[in-house]
Amino acid sequence: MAIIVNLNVEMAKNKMSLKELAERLDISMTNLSLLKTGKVKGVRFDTINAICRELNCKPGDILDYRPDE
Amino acid sequence: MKTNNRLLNLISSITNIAWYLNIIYISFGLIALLVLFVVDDHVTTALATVKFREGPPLAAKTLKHIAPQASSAVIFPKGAGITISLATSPTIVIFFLTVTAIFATLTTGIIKNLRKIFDAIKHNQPFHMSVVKSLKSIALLLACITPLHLLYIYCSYMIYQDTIVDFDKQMKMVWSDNFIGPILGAVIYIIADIFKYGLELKKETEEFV
Repeated sequence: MAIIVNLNVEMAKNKMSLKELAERLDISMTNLSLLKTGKVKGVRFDTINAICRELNCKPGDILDYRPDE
Repeated sequence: MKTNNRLLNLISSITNIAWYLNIIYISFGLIALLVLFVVDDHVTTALATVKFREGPPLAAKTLKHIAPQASSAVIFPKGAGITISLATSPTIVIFFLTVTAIFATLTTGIIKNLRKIFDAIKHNQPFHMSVVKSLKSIALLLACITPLHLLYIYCSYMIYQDTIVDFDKQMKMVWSDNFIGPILGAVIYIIADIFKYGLELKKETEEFV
């Protein structure tokens, strides 16, 4: 997958645990964990909006594009 | 969690009762049929409906004349059912056992799949691939009813030709059949396919965070 999720970097910057972020976003830890590891098919704008709000970052900080080799 | 839909629960209960009655009916029916074939050298039965070419003439005497094996005839508005006495030859035994087995398989298959669907609904899992498979099986079984019935009429025709004197001159088969089975089958198949598409959409939505 060419889309890389850098959620763990932003979480570390904000010193926020997965559990805390999941509670703040009102989504399950399972889904957030899947998102963090890039194992989801898609992300809703609502979710990106909430993540950016809670981690004080921009969508580009969370998502990156690296072409497949 | 059980569903609170009373009508659904009622239909589900009726399906369960039909399932057990069907098993009892098939078991006893097959045993009775086998016993009959072993004990008696003749089997008296009504086959597919026929029409008399010159109206219903049938005094018992006439019937006896044209069909020595026929014991009685019941006249319907669209034809007549002739009760006929057939020697239990291997062909006749195989014919009746096959007919019984085919229609038993059809009813059992339909009821079994209905029970599966009701079970899935009861367990709050109606959106499952097994429900799509069950719906498609029901559609296929329903679609089979008319062709099999036509085949049964054809087999009856062969038996009548062998047993009734000048059958083709005196009578003809009533070939008409309603096509409700295949039509229902097609409708259910389309619903199953739409259901499958909905299932794929649901799965895709679940993969979104």
